[in-house]
Amino acid sequence: MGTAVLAIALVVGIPLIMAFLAWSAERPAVARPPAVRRDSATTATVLTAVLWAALTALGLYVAATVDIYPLIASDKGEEIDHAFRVLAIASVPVMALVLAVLLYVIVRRGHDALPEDGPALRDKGAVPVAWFAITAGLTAVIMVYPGLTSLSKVIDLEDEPDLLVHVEGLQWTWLVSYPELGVSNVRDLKLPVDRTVKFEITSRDVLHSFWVPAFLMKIDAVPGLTTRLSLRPEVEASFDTDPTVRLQCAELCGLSHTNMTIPVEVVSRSEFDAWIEERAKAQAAAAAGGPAPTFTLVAKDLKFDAKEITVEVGKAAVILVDNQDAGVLHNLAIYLSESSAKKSEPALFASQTLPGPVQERLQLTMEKAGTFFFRCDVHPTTMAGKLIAK
Amino acid sequence: MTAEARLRTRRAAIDARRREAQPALAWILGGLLWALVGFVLGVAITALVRSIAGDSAWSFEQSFAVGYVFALSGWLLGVGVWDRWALEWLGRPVKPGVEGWKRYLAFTTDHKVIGVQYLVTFLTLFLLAGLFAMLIRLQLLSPDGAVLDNDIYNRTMSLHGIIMVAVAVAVVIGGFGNYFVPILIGAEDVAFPRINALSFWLIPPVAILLLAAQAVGGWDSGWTAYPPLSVTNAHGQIFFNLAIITFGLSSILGGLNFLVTVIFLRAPGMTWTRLPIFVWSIVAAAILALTFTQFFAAAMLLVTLDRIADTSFFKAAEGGAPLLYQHVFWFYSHPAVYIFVLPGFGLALEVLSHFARKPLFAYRWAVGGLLGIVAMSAMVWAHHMFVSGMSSTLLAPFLVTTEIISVPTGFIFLSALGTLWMGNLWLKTPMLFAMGMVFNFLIGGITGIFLADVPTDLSLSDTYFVVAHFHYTIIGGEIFALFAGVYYWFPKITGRMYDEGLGQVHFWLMFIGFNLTFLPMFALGFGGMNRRVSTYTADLQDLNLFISAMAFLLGASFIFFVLNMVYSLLKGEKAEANPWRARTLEWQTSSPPPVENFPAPPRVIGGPYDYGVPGAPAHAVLEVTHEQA
Repeated sequence: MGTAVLAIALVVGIPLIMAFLAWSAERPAVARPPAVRRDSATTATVLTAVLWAALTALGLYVAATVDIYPLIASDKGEEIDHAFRVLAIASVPVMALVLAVLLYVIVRRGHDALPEDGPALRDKGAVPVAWFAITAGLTAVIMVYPGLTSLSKVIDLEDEPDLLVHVEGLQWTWLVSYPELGVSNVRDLKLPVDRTVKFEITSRDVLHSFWVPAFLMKIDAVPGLTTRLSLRPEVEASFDTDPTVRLQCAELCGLSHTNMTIPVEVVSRSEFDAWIEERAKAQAAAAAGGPAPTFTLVAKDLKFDAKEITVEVGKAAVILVDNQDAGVLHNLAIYLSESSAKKSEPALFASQTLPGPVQERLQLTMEKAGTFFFRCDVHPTTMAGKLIAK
Repeated sequence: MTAEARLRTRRAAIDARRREAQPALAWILGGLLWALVGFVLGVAITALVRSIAGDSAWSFEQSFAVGYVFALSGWLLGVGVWDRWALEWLGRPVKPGVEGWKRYLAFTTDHKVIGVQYLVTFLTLFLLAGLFAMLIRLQLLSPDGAVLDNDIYNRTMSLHGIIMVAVAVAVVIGGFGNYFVPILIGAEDVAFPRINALSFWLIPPVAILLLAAQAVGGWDSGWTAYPPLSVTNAHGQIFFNLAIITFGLSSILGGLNFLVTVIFLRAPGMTWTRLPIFVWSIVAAAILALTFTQFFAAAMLLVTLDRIADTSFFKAAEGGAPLLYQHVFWFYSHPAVYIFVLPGFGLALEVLSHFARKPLFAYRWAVGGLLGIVAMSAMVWAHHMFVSGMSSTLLAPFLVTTEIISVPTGFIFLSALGTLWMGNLWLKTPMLFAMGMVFNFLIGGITGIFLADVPTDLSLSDTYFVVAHFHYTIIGGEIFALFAGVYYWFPKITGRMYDEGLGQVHFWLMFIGFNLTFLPMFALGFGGMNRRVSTYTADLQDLNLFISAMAFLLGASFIFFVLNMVYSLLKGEKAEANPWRARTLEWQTSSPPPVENFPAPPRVIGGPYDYGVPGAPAHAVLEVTHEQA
């Protein structure tokens, strides 16, 4: 709110001040002081050096103390944050020098009428050579540290990771599989804390980019290629408590690029094991047949055949999602409400996203009565409806 | 009077009457008419070939692409190539040119008219694409998106991007390059005046294609058009591809023309070390445009073939390689950012020297910096691809080359700061914009280091940090210099002074609005907001509100610019030949200059920037020939 007020004040205030300045500049009555005598070269150098030192001190203080990223939840993220800080510290003196010169020349500029010609300084002397040597030296330093030294640490892949995760991007969602643990194509990414993870990433259609802001790492998902990242989550965190803990597509991929995000959660090892076990069991049961459906929802020609599903409160229901669109991805996801779905809050229940023709069972138990929202996550605007629990 | 002389007088009278009678839009309407004829012909040929092969006669993208090639030829012939050029090849008299204000709507070979045509066209496109930016900021007032749906948002963002890129490529080179390079080197015109006209008249089809694409669904792949998305999306993409290929042709012809002009048409005494720095910067940019533009055009041609001819350069399922496109694309598009910004550097240094009333500091180092950037620019392209999934062995070499390029860029800063140092600054509007450019590009350059460093780029690539960075380099580096040039040369081009008060209001509003818009965007990048999104997480709303408000302020600054231009053009004080008391050649002739630029051929006898140098001769003298004396 405060920002908005400030913004409005500036938007209204600055043009007014400027208009006033322009109006007053036209009056001859606003007399300008007569020409200011130029500083001697020594005075100029000393004043600028003092200004430079002050700006550098201020800049170094800021660069060393400010938190750059709101949340750093991986080991590689720590390394990247460190590299950022080193680069920031290295660039402060350079930035301060340019600012000091600019400020000095404006403040001590003399008058605004057509001035006398200035001193005829060209490039005699050692200044350009010194400038070249210093900038080249600084560049060489940051190239090696943090550049090349942290590069190898950040891009190195874990040969024997504790956990292997396959991630597939498709317009416009992510499918996550844990191939060693019997869980495939789920739409949330859960990871155990303090375990090394290797991601193998690909795409089914166009370019996507695998990005978890809290991990500070990203790499593109390219059709026909497998790209790899490895890291170790170091903080228990979830999308519910921090919006940067999400898997976000970072490469423009068409219509719903902006919504191509799934929640990420870093949990304790025991919680992770329990979750995997539950998912693996459910998927095994689904594969074996499972209980008879209580409702059948047909997805055909990019439409669901029902706008309303009714289930009994407190009883296990099984909805059979019959995707009849050949080659087209659909799923069924139940949300608290339509706005909850729009805000990318996690679904209460969701079936796998699979290309048709395929039949999938979604088991769910609604604990309280009410009207909920269901949709196909791949076609959120055209395939949606109400789920009523009575 | 002989019969022959009478005939000549009569012919001249007829020519003059024809010129008077010619409606102002005759050239453009002629071009459009012949474009339509060409289009119909192209579509008919496609239909014929398809029918013979047993296909349906009409296939939107094939028919349109072939139709466009014919339409483009028709447009160029109709707009003036036939009347002013082809007739001569056939040994027949060419049609007379037009005079007065109608020249600006016609196919002419006067570099000054072409310069104004470029400037006005691209400033108009700049303001239009700026309105699209306002729409983008309106959308981002709310985390769920305030006004647009995803499709319209993606199309708006893509259109904003490509029009602004086109503006950045052509506005300084095409506008000021055309108008002032020949004058600054003491020439009468460019080396190839007709090619010059051709390169301008290729531009209207580009603008029409990009805007007309919206009628068939637009395109949602940004200005980068990465496949496979650009192979499978809406029909608007084919319009985009054809526009890029056309625009590329224009750029290449322009680059060639500038190089030949500067190499061969310099006035006597205009040695390479007496060349104004702006001319040097155009030479540098022209080398880049001539060398690299074809890579973008080729990439777009391959995407077009994937769409209309069933090739599979980029279709992964059929053995294509999406990463291949990115290499070819950036092989042009990284040098392209120097095509944007080098003329900006040159223009800013030019203004800094004249308004600090001091010699350009370390002139030879600055030239070395420009040429060093040209040399390095071909070796850094893959820094745009650190997260693309390319082989990781490429990461370290491109980290190294990219960081090296900051050294020649540093020479430009050395020259700018040395020129300002202890100067008696004359803070007129052009000077304010030139100094603003130094400040902005400082931020643009420093933040570039974080994107050149692979580890930090892994977190920042494709986020708002990148958006902030490239707006700082392009708006901050080139567009601020562009406006320095607009105000600096306004008296020379129009013969009238601009309004200083309005000019300074424009500067301060634009400078403050620009910095308050783009500085907070770096923070959005840290906070996890990626590029090209129409919605974002709710925690970033406060910052986005602030940015949008400041962006509207930035937009409002251009109201003062337009007011100033219109008012000064009609009512401004008459400008003298040299209102800035500057030494360079354009100020040694009338405002505006005569058709042949100088009343007498100039001879260069001194440096362009020797302000306050004891005993320095003038930059040039105009030699009066015996006949005139």
